[in-house]
Amino acid sequence: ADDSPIKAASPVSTNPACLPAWIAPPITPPGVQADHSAEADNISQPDELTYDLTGNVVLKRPGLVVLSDRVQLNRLNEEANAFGQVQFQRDGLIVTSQSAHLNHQKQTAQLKDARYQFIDTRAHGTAKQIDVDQKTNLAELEKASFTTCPLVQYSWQARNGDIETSEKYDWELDFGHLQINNNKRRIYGYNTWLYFQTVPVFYTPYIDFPMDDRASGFLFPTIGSYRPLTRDTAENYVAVPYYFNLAPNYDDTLTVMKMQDRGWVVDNEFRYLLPNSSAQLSLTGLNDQVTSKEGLSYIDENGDPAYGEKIEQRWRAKLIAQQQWAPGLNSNILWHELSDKYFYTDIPVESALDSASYTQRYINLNYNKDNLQAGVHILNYLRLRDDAAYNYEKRPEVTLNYFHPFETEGLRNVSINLPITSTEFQIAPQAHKPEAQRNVFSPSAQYQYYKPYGSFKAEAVANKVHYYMEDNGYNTSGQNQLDITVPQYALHGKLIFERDFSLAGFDMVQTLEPEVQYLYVPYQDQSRIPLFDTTARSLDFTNLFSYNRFSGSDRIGDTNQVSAALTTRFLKRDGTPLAEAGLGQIFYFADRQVTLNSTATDTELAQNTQNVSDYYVKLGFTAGPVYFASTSQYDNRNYELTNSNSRLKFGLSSDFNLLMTHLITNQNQPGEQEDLAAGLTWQLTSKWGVGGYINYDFTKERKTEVQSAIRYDSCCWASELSLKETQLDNGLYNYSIQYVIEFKGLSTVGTPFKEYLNDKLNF
Amino acid sequence: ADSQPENDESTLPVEVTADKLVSQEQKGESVYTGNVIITQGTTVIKGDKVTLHHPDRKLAKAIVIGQPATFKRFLPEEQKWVNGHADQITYDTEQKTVLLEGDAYVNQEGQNSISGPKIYYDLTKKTLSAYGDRDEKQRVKVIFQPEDEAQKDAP
Amino acid sequence: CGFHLKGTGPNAVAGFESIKFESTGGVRPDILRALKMQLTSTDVKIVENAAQAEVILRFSPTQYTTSRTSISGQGDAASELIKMAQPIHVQEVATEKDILDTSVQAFRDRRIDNSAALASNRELMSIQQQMAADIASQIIDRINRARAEPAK
Repeated sequence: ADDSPIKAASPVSTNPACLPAWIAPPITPPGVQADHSAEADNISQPDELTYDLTGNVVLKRPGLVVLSDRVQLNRLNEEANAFGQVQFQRDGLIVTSQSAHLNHQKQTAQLKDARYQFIDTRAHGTAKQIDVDQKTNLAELEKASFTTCPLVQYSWQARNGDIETSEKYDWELDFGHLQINNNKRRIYGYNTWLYFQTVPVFYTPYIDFPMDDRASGFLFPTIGSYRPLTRDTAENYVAVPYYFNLAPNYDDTLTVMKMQDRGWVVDNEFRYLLPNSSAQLSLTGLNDQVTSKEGLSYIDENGDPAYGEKIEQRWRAKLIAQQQWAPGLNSNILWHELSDKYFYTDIPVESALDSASYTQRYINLNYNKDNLQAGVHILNYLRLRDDAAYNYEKRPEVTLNYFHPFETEGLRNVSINLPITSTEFQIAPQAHKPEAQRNVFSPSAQYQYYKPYGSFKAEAVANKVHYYMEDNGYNTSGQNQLDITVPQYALHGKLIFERDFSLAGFDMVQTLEPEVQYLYVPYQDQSRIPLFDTTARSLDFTNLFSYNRFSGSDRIGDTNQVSAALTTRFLKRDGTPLAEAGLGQIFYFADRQVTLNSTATDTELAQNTQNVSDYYVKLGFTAGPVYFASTSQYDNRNYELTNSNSRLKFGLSSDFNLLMTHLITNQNQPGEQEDLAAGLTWQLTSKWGVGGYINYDFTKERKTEVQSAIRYDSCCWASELSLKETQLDNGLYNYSIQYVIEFKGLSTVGTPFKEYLNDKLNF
Repeated sequence: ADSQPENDESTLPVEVTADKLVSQEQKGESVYTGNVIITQGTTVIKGDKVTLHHPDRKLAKAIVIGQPATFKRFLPEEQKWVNGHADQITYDTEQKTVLLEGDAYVNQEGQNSISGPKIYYDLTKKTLSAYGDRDEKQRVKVIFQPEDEAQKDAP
Repeated sequence: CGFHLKGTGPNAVAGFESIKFESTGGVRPDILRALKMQLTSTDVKIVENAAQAEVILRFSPTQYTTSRTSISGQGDAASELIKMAQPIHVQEVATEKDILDTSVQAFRDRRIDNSAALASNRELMSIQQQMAADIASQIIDRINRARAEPAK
């Protein structure tokens, strides 16, 4: 999944009942041009240079307001002492105390036994002493506390049996020293104790967190139990993030995890976010007590657990980076390095990969300028288990494409496309598969004519594919160079008919869209060419009009066919889609000969010799909370459903969401597969929410993945208990239970369940 | 601190000009009306109606009423003027005080300006007291002139 | 049965001839390319300053998400649902009225053959191109319909 480097989780709750009360009503500070002035009930001058103001005194300076009962002000050294119900407001910070000393010359203020509050987030706290310095824009607080929670009543039974009530904050941070830095908009805390429900739960010598936007929730602690695929016993762990933060756009989180058997794990995640570049570097390391004694447990070729060599030091490094080097020139990287294949399986630091057999790694450099695109790509697959498949890799692939629309009068609608791709296909020697350098040059010329009522396109593509086979002992093609040149000719026409249409007073537009395409591709023998990046296409209605029934360039399907489709759509007058239905089929004038496998299978031969294709149907509608869409394929002889993808979303309200997808592939044919994935989030009350996700494999009658979670959301903290189970082939099984407490208003790195589910099912 | 002799203006002669002298009883009190101007040394007080108390021919007190009555005086040590206005100004030469009442305003040049319902200015000590009127909700306000630039940017 | 060719009926409105793009920062390059290609092939000029444009098309960053819809016996994604959503905001220059504020979406399902991962990756790239082209044509259609249908 596409995860953004900086993930802002739950911001401070905005529900009014959750906002802490004001310690003093906020006043808009006087502007920069304001006078230095003071108002009072009475003013007297004991001597020429001192003023004594009494009776709700209001002292004003640019950006500063001080209210108090009495102020003694010395004009010479510009100092003032305020007494009685002092309210000091400056730069979005309110401070209240019984006394304050202000020095206008040094632009400082000192308040004792004070309470402070930020105007924008209403986070607040107390302090023995606060020194505010306007020049350096810093506020230093001694023996201070900080919380984003409102004051709540709670009652408990005292020892003598009667019920007592008092007030508390759900969580609170107590600092020996606290610095509020307005330049960096950050808060730096030293000798910090964290109190949760008035119980001290965590100490850190140093902590800092942002004052505004990214202030969401501080994840502490993560308690869990994890059973990896490679062991049959679960292991408990506690993860405590120490949160170091370097600058507004840099972010470093050091997490220390104690695993019951494996010992201490240190995980550090460094992130930065700049306007045109962002990166996330995660480093994790441990001295694994289990693998150093029992040896690395792994899953052998036929998928059974076994024990291997003893290793102690295990580590992983992951880099996700995007960078825009110049307008149009950007790169992105996703890379993992592991000390051993089973790191992600054994150590619960990447929940998405804890049961995967491989993961993708890539480095891309792309250049886009008007009609020119170019790119260099390295694509590689990191195997995470011994029974993982070996896959071809691109080391590297260079792509270049130039698109040129002609402007000259006669050639108004003509354009040409010149895509060139050169790929170095390589694979691990254990795969015993051929390797080659393949160059694909497929220039095409199109004549396109678009009108509101339809379009016409004539296109000719000349595909030239050349292979330089590597002599690695597995060159099944028998030649060291292979070459095919296969042209593709297509004529495509589409018309759009419309009529206004109203049903029960609801006026809509109904369209009728016939679409026809003639495609001719001559046959050229490609059976000796190995398959590097070619496979059959996934089911989709638009496959009817694709020029090649295979994806990739190792097979260019020969055909002489006409494909036709009729789609009708219902739209609101402003174009919002309401419903659609489509039917399509391909009519073949001759049999096809190119097949995926070098020796054609029976199904391939059958497909190549039928003179009409299966029927393709697409359906979709949105009605209130229900959204449904499906594409299906019916056998042309007995109208039996063979393939279908359908999805249903039922969003009763923002509190109840049900998402389902259902897939059927090759029904009643070899390789039949049927899967259901369903997810549910239900906010029962403003505080309690539940969620569930299941991935069910009908063919193997197995719940491949089940996840359930219950979340308690209070004003300024939340906690979540989630269980995840995965069942794979030959009895491989892993489960993970996780309990997370999240303090809103600091900042979090965790993914609350709702977001995790969104990553799972998002439509 | 007692006042230095040389600027004790109360001993200087008092000059009064006005459109009309309304009455002059024996007990040393006279009333002038119509853009009345009283000058004594650098102190100048103007108003529409003035009541002067001058027992044995020496000015003790002047009560000036005007829309508004104005007052100004030069302070030799600071080389600065102090001036003000109010509905009624009472200039007491013996006490060396000026009492401004009713929308009173006093400006000590280069230092501050004070406004309020009632201001009491001590000419010798050069100090002010201003009194708000709680039930009339009238407050007292002082505006500090920004210090002269030099002093402000002192390192 | 009342059908007529689109754009030739009684309330047919001539398409716009000039358009200006705004804040294309976070938009996928392939969507922008497909949109430019389709616009130029319908003789619509893409202009730089708003004064010459009939319509202003302001973009928000493209949202591209994938969800695992089935899992193989070895624990890898066996099929994925891909969603590409492009939020757009359209303003008619002449009347300075905001005529369209919506998010155009395209969905595609793809099967992943974990023993031919590179082939599935190649298919993903061609699927992304088709989704980008589909989003581009939806954007043009929605603009035309929004201009013809004065926002109620």
